[in-house]
Amino acid sequence: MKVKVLSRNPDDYVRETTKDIQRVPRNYDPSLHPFEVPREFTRALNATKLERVFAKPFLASLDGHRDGVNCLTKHPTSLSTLLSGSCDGEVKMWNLTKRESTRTLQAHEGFVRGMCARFCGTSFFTVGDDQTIKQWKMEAPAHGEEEEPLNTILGKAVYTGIDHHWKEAVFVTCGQQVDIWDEQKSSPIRTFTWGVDSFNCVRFNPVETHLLASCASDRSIVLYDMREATPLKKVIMSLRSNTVCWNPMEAFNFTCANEDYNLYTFDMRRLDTPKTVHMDHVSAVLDVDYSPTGREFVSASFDKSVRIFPKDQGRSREVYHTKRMQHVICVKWSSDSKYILTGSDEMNIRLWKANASEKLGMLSPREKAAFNYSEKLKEKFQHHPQIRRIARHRHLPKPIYSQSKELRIMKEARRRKERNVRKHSKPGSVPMVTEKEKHVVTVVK
Amino acid sequence: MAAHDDAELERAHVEKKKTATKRYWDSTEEKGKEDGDKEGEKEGKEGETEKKLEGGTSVVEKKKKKNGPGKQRGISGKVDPFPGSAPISEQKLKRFQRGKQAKMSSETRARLKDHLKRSEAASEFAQKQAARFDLLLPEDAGLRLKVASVSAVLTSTGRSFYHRGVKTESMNGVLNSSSATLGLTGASKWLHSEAMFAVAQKKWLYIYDNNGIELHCIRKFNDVLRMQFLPYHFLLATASTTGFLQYLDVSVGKEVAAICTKAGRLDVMALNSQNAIVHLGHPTGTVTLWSPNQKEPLVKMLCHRGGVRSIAVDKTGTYMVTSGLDKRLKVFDIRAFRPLHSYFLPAGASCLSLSQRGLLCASTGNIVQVYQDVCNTPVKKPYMAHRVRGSVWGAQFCPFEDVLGVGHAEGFTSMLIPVQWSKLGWLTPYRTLARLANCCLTKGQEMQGRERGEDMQQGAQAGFKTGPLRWHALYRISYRSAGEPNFDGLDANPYRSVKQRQDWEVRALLEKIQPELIGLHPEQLAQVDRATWEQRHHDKVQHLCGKAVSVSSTHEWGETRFEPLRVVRPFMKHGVAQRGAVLAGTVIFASPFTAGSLGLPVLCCTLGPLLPVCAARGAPCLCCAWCSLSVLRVVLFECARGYDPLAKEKFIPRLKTKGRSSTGKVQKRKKQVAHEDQRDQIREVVGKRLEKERQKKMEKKTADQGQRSALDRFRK
Repeated sequence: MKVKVLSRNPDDYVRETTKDIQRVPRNYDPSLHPFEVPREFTRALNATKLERVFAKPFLASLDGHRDGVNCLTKHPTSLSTLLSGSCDGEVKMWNLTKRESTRTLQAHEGFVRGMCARFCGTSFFTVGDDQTIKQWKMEAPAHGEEEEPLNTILGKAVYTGIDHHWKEAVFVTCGQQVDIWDEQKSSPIRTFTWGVDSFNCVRFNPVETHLLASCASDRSIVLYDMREATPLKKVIMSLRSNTVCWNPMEAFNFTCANEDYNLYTFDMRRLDTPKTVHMDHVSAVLDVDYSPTGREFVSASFDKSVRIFPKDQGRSREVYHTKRMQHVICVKWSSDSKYILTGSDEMNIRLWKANASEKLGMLSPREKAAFNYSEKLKEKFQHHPQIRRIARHRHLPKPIYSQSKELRIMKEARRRKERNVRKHSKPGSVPMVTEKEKHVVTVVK
Repeated sequence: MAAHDDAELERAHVEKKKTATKRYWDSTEEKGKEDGDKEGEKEGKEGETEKKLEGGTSVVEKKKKKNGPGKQRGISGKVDPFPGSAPISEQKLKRFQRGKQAKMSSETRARLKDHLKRSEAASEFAQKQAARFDLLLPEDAGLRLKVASVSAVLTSTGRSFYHRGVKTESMNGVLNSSSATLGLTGASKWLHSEAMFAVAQKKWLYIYDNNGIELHCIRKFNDVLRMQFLPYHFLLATASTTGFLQYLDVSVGKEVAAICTKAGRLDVMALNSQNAIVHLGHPTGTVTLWSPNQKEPLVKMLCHRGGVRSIAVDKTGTYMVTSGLDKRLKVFDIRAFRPLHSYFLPAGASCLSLSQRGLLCASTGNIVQVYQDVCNTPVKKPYMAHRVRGSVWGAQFCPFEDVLGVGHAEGFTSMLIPVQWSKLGWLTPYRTLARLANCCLTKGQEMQGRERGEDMQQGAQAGFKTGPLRWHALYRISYRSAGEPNFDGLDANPYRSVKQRQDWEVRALLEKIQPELIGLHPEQLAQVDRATWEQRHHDKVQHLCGKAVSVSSTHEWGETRFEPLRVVRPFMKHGVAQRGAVLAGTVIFASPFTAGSLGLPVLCCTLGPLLPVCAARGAPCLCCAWCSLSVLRVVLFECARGYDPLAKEKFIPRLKTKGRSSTGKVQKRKKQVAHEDQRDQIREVVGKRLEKERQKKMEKKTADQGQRSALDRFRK
């Protein structure tokens, strides 16, 4: 008698030779895969834990400077080249893959205040305390040749910052006023002033290349159009901004690093309220730089830490610090968006990973798939309290920890007081001021 | 259609006269037309569903509409007989559906909307892919022929089965045979792999490896009667004669939970494999559902008039089948906890077992009966019955095989559960199938037998087998085989090698689900916890309540003795006693009076002579008795309720007095006649002040209009 039953041929399920990979037949029937969600949750939890385990962002420290590092510049075309200027007037060129200094030149007397590379990567400019602007060749001088600038412009006052146009042979300096220079001429082609005594930073917009932003010491951020004779507009904040950085992907957005421990992202079309207030630092923020993707930026602070913020979130996603790192003066996000470079007071340049737990080097396709999968899982369960707790935890040095606590208490007290004042005064007489509105004094056009 | 083709050919090749080659789909289509409306209707339906599934009209669809229904020309000028993507039946799609679509209101933020849309599109795509994957499954329930005589069942002794079991049935939890060979008294259970099994012996629980070497003796687990293994949690759930339900974590060897069920001897146990809930049957006729996180049963169901003899839960976690001493066999829907069917078995069923595909094995005495589809449709007679030598003690289906293992008094019997021949029916192929197969079908397969309407609805599915020369398209009908024909290699793979098993073991241990996550609905973990506003507020209140101030010792006061209980934040609004006073070491008492109606203990503190505060929030007039005693300062605390900052004070209407001499009237009159002599003076002063203010305002306005501001210094 014939009956029909299941009988499998093992040859269909077992690999033919040991050289083959194992056969894995799949059946996606959900009833064969029970506990889908709890299993995914467990995987997400494990992935989050592993992420924290592998979070080792510090890669290298480049030492060689004999004074604090005052400014950093990325090479526009070479990923592995970095320029740094120090407080003793020395400029060093670094090879990041070898992690060594390739060239040293005494550029100025006193501080190197600002530095920028030409967009083609053939030369770079420095400004210093000795009231000069110098243009240098990117290539090292041949053997026997002397280290000499291509061009030197002697100014009347100290220049505090410099930036190069992204497409044309034009650069801008700031000091007592904002000057726009043609590379071929020895006097500025345009000068902007708006009733302030000094500027500390000026930056060209990388997309709308005629636009400029500068920070002035009278607490204002001034915007300019290079083609016009007068500045566009300015916003005055409650405290001074140290640096400003344009978002490389969104031409109209920029972020400024402020003395009041915060960073502010502005839409240049609407300067009356910042888009986002980024709070987490516990001391003045000294420098900010956007990632080339425009989704995140890194900030350096006087509190000896570096923080990474998503561009639209108020709190940082990451904080980097070491025992030895002192006040971080300058920071740059590398052009491949994978690394962060910081220059600090104690004469060192540090190289960090932008994503603390990322595995460096080549990934096999399976590895990549596994990383992608765990990323997705982490994203899926990110709001689960158990996972969020682990993902958010960061160790902080004691001073930062205690100070942030103190700040929190102070803020709470201020809030409480305001609430009480409001409670005991005529309704409507004490207006509600949001955190965004609080720090902007006015906009002047 | 044929005419259309001819015209096309004429245009393409002017010289040559060529007849269009006859294709199998032409014949089938014609046949389909001839066959009658049934097919046509069905196709129409399919088309509709397809349109529904696709959502918006794509470019391809628009083109299709222009060219006429179902015709599209390729580069070669040929018409694609099966345009568009292959249709998927809604039923199949539903199987792979996870959750519902998020509702987006107009207030939803744009970015969130975008994110939701994208993720939903991705999941829909995945759902479709998964539903399509069915076509590619290698095995089929009714395809393979195995020639064997039904009477010749594989039998072997219990001991040898253990050895064979290791080799042939590589799945965990294959057998629950109570064989006497190992000196067993209770149950035995495979652990997560075939290398280990747990055996409940006379007193303790033992763990053996596959060579029969004792690995552990677990003295914490005594008198175990039944066991179930939760493979994803690495938990061994045991039910004992003493009424204890214990959970052992086999990965670390720790007891996770021990629950006293208070239900006496527990000899009926089943496991819901979808949510890891243990079902226990009791002599009272109730079935209780347990998780290790709760000391009480999650659910208690009264299922039978007599005691419960056996329980089985199906693989999908939808149905539970129970048999009781009242000789009834009942089917319940355990998602809704609703009885579905009730059958009467003359002898009653002593042990039940459900196969992966839903066959039910019920044994009565020494007869093993197998029923088909008890859960969905009422059945009248068993599909198979077999008499074994001794009375049956336990029976279990082998996963992924059509084999039923029966343990009985005389040993062990394993039976084949074949698929019925007579019910087989071949279906006309779907066009999609044929297209996918890209080949001709042999003639014999288009037979007319359409006995099972249900199969028609589900639609035929194709399975393929690579032959040496070409593809064979084969039809599949959903047969009722016992085991699941297609296993998932990443989950439970009967053919895995040692290396694969080791890898799997490591991965499984890493992904061990914590016992805290066991609950009736495991998918709830991925849902947003929409705590209601009330719930969050309640939590806040509880949180605000919990801070204790200093508590003094027992103090005698008056004639009553007060015990300090617990101190909570006072109701500040009644500021008779300030917070400072309480903090400054005030004596705090528990009043002997509890809020009569509320049953809340009340704490009081006294300080200096004053009137008592009687009305406290939420506990009005608790201290009337205190009032009569010349109480000092009293603050009322409420322990159980916490501090509710948003609580509205209860409206207590003022005592209304009427008549001329009432206080209200007197007050009013007083106001009217007050300061009559100075009124003119007051009026003058007030008028002057108002005038001044008005002037000031005007000045300010004019200044504002002149655009002068403090910021002028910034303009130059």
